Amino acid sequence: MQTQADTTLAPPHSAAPPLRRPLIRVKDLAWLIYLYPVRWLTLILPLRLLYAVGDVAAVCASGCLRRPRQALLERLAPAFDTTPADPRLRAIADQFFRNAILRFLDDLLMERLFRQPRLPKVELVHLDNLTQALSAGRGALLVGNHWYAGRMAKRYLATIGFPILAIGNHAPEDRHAGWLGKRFLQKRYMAFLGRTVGDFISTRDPDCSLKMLARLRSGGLVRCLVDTPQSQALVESSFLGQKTVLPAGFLHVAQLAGCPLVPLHCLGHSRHLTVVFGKPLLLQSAPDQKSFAERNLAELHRILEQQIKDHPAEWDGWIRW
Amino acid sequence: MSTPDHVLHRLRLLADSSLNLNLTAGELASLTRLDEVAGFDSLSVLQFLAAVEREFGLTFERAQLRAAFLADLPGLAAYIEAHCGKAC
Repeated sequence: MQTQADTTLAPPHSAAPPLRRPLIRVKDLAWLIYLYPVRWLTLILPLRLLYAVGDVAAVCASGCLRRPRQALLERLAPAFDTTPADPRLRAIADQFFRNAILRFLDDLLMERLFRQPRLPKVELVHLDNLTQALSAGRGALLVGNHWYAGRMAKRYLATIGFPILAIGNHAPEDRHAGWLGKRFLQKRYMAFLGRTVGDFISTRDPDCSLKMLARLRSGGLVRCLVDTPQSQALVESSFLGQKTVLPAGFLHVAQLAGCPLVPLHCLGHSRHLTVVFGKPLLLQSAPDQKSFAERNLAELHRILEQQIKDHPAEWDGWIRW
Repeated sequence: MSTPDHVLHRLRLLADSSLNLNLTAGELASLTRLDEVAGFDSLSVLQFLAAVEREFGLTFERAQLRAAFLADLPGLAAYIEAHCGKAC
């Protein structure tokens, strides 16, 4: 396992030149269809039928999406120290695209599902780790990856008394979007997700870190997805066989709040959801920012990387598509 | 007893040290807003906040946890003076 965070403080993101986008791309059409006719249908059709259609679409997607599938196999190979032709990776890819489609369906159904007690099967594994972390009254910072089931888990935890403030990017760069998508549809899609997830602040909010701190100081929960570089403080690290930059700013918020980190991973979908809470991690102090990040991220990255290796088809972060 | 000016001066020194601004004495004396300082972002506001809380032995309430409030040094000095009084 190669989660050694060499934690050199990375330079901030350089401003990339603006992309020249065509008026419309396939992704724009997908957003348009998803946000309007498909969303409207999910409001009126029976759940059983929607799940059946979702299951069929999920099977078809893994066979139809050839370019994303190839990109996924090429990304999986170094993480598992094998070649893209490995049958094990092909099985992961099949399941990955099925999970992606089921997540898109779950997002559409979320409002409907949580109006009534409809989640049929939920497993909370080691919830005691979370309650133990919260017992000091300083809140807890949930740290995890971009799991397909993450939004469903967040929403579910709120209904059982664990509301979570999520941190994310309201307007991520998307090179697959055309002008129409970037100008209008992405905003609509993010607004839709915002309504779906609830209790969400943007990393671009100048008060982002202070809002996180306020929530923690009131004994609440904040969730940071630490597998994407959304932070003012980034560290260079080797993660899943690739050199990348990962965020470290959340460590400073947790340090100031005096709260523990709780590794979180979420598996499955609305018909069978599993949420696993890891053992709380207490931050270790260090004389400077670099060694503080180095000391605290190495173990965390090791845990998060192992979670992904154990459940590769559940992680949304392999490719952007 | 501390005065708002004295507190303001201490805040300027704290800003200079916690944010590594390396300001000259003249620049320091005219520093009133941190959000006009290059590199004042959501991470540096945390560093400044931590330094201020440590220095004055206080914990800001939820309503004060805003970058615009913390960046306004005269306003912050008045708040600290009002809340700490002789203690700071």
